[in-house]
Amino acid sequence: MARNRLFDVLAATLFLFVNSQLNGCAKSSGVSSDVDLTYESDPRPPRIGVNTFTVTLTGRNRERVGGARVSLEGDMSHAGMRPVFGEAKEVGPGRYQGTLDLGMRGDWTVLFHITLANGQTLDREMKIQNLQAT
Amino acid sequence: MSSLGTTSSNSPTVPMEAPRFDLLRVTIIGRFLRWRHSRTVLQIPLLVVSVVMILHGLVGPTLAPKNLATVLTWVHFRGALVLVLLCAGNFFCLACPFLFLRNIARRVFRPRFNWPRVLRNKWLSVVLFVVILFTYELFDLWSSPWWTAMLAITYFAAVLVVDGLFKHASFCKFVCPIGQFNFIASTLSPLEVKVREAKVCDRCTTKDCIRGRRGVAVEQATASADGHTFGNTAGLVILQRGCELALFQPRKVGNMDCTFCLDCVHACPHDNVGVISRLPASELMIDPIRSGIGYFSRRKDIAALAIVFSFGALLNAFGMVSPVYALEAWLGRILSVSHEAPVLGVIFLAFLVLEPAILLGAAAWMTRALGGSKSAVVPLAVRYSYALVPLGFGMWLAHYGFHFFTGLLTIVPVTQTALSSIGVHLLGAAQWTWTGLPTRFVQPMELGFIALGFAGSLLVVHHLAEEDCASQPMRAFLPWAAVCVFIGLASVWLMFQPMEMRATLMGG
Repeated sequence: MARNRLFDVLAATLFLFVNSQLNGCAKSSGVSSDVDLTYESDPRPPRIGVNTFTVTLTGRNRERVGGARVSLEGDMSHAGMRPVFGEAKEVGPGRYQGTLDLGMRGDWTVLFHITLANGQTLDREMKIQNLQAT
Repeated sequence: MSSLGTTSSNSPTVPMEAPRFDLLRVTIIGRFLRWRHSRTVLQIPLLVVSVVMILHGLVGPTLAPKNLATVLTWVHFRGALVLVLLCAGNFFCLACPFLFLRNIARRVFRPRFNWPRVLRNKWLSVVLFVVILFTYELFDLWSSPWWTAMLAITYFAAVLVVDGLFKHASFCKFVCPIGQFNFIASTLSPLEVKVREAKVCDRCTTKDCIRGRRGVAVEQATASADGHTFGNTAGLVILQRGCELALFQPRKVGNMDCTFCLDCVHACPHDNVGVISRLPASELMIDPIRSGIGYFSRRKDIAALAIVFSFGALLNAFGMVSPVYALEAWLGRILSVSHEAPVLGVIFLAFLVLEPAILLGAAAWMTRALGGSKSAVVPLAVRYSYALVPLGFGMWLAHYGFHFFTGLLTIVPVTQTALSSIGVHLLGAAQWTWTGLPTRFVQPMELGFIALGFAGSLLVVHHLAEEDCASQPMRAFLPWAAVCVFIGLASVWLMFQPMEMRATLMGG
């Protein structure tokens, strides 16, 4: 009986492990197949301080997708660090520009949260490794 | 019942004995802690939090600042742990959720073996402590919810396996790296579980505090915290455990190896065990024979733990400031390697072996040469290594306190987000602007912790020097004071380095 319980515990642990491998690391960015998203930063690569991020949204037929709301979020890799936020404005058809003040050296993740005019939401993340002052 | 300055006939003279406060005499807290189910009541919430944390770590957001596993473990748990150790005692071990699960498992699995004699020391746990520090840096545990969750799962599994096979609290005493951290840090805590009146113990014939109480009442035994029979020949069941860590209260000195489980409090038929105030670090200034431990000065394994604890504090903080990356890149070029592991291995060797060997060896040699101490270099180094514990603890406090205070409120938006993912919406939109105290307020606290540790180390060194070289204590004091100054300055320097949180050490 004890052996069976031990087996159950091990099986449950194994299940959690496999399940997390399959699901936990495959977080969907939520990008719609109808909309493509490209982004760039200025300066490139980003540096400590205020960085400008430009997001371009294009549709299935390469047309620009306007009228979306694009918000930016910068997170450090360590828990407990204050995230930074910004809003991007549409500066041209389907082109959105906003700034983030990345204040500390290290690894950052910039998240682009996009709400299309039809209410559909997309998320995309940009990894910045080893952000430096110069 | 407690009295001023009472010492046991077996206890050493503790310097600067202060009027004693007994936590168990405090109205509500004391009554709760004396209740035999208090430990379980404290463990259950922590177990629930652990399970939630593990699940969120496995299936929640992959970004560390947004996941309960990383936020709770690396911001709140670590910070709260060191602050409670500083202000009270080893209360995390009291509320340890791993032991709650173990106690349940022991209702099914009966441990049959005694812990191997060759491993009845701290060497294994010291190695595991170093392994955890190493994997923390190598796998950037602080940035990975998944790995953090796996660490917690591994911990639960290890407890179940070790204590499922071996009797008593083998995991706590000989394996658990967190426990060893707590044990050595709690030598600086202001509270200690100890006897109230030595004379009462002198008259005691049952010694329940170490032996526990056995009986035939099967129902009661089943309801007890640990219902296994423990293989006693009379077929009696344990009604109340005695100390599982082999600490015999009348001869127990200090907090080393004490999990604050309060089994001795519950077991004592004379209500003669309290949680009593004492001068923090006083147990580091003396070297009596300690129940379940022996002499500190003869325990190279505990000295190694003290060294890893003290120098590991600097190493752990060093891993998060800019110079470490320059050093790693330089070492990578010298060693012609692109993988982080060998480079980290060299850094760990330098910080945890070479640096302590040089500093402690030189100071011990000078203590002999200048102070005329008759002890050999290694025993001197072992004896004085305990004096570095306050400095190390100051650095742990500064480091973990920084994350705790600057990230204290991040638990709010992370919990909000976690709850909203299962359809529970609390307090509106996630308050991501809630973080904690500004760095400018926290930095003076960090310096205060380091200064406190520095003062504590100097105090211990001075006391040891007076005992070693009564005629010329300053000559024995100065070399060790120089070591303390060196480590103290290194700690302050580290605190003022620009923080840099990178998971990609070699690539950048």
